[in-house]
Amino acid sequence: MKVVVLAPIDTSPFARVVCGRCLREPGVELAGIVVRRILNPERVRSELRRDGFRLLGKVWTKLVLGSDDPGTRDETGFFELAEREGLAGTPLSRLAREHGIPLVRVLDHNDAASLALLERVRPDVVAFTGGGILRKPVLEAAGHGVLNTHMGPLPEYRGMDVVEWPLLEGRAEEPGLGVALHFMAAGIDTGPILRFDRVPIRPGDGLERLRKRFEPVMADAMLEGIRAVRDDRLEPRPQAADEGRQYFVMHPRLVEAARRALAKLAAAESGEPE
Amino acid sequence: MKERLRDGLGPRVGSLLERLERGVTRDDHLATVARIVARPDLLETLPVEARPIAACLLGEGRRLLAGEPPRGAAPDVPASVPSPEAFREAARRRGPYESGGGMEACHLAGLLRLPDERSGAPPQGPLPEPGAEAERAGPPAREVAALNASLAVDGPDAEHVSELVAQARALPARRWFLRRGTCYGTGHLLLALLRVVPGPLAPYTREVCDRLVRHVEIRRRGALAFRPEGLPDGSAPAVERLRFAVALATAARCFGDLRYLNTALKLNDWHRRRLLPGRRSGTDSLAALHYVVSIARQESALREGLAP
Repeated sequence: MKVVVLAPIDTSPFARVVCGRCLREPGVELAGIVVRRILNPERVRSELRRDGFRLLGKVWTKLVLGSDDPGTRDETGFFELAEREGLAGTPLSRLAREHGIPLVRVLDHNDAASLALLERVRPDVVAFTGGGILRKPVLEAAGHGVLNTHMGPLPEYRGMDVVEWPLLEGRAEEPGLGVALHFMAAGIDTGPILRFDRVPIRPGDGLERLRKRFEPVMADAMLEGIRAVRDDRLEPRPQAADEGRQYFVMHPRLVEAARRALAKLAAAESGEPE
Repeated sequence: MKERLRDGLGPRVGSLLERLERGVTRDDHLATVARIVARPDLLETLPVEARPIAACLLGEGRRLLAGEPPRGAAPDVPASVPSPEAFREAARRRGPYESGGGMEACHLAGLLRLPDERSGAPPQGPLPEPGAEAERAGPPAREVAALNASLAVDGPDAEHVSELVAQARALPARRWFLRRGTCYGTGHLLLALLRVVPGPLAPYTREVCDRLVRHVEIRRRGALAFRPEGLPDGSAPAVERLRFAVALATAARCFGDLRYLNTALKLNDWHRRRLLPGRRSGTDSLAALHYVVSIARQESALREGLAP
């Protein structure tokens, strides 16, 4: 069974982990990788519009701090997984070279080069590990579809900051916090849902630690999705467009409130007063 | 290389990022509100008819600064404000959002009459069906003006409601916002709709709020560029933008939806820059007054929405 991985950048640890696992998984052929170029003015503009100055923090954490982010050092995230799986410091381009996998660099995943690779390879499924919104031609060229891991419960919480929004709205118990694996559709996070894996709150959790604990769950969920396609045991549950609500980037003052809500829940987990 | 960056710049970048992450704080907004409230010329620069209401609205800012709870029931509107009938007549003559002493007083009175508490009734019931006219392409300026004139300044009586529903049918929620901006007058219109929540137009109002949030979050500052171009002048666009912020903070409380408050917070942060000392736009009294009301509503909604 053929898989193509769409990656946000050449050094994406999530994409490296997914590629590494595809290479080791019996019956799965990593047939191509599409990588977005890191220096892409259009992308910087759109991410700056979406995230504002928060983008600088993301760049600093992802490209400089890496696994040394002091707030999350004791948790296992993508960086630690990549290291554990022998992929530390291995960009996707090197991985592709070493294994003879076709790799294309694009400005946008919807570019013609990306489509050409998908049409040439004809994958059974595409694993999306980040990198913007996908348009119809890419979604349709992807065999069974494009798998995406979403850091919140679907269909209730679509969009951005969906770890924080259920905390703020007092819905951390039900529908809960966790990772939803789904096929991508034209609308944001509206495609058929394959599974939902809960991520429990633990004593002492802060937002950064909690978010980092989502990462191994995302990697496992993606591999489970690929296996389900390989073994022909997909049971997608379609979503109606009006079943959920779309959320956007949370204002810092509301993020602070979500932090306080999490602190209370984490204190309750440890059985101690906040 | 990474280690050098981490060790050399780590602490400084860390504190800079922390500041940027914090964004505009409550204290920042309160300092701006305090400066506006203390302006001795603020009321004098407004039309005479608008001054009593402006004074009431400044009171909201003072209560906020003093840490007092927001007002309960809407106070009586001073007699100097034209009656709803007079407003409708003026709207027919001049258009519902053109300036003029009486009109500005009416618009400010509209802010005063906004619900300042959570509405108990959930929005239910069918949305108004779009009429054939609603399918027409292009900026819906005419329908906006018609609905605006119908809503006038007061909560409508039962007879008036059917007229409103008919007007809303001609302007379905999806036509409120344009690809490159917003039709001028819709901010005023949304405030007027919120004054009649709960009611048969509540589902329609909620759908408009959902679309406004999406419109602003996706198009950011360009979302509230007004069409048709050239219609508003002076401080009118700034006032209209702040009406959206006031409307969203009010809608957050009416409908118990924090997504509306999230967008209102961003709109207020963006606007605050225009009011910083040394900015010419900061001297406009009407915009400054709307900002005070917007912050007061934002803080009320935050206190209520995030209460344990």
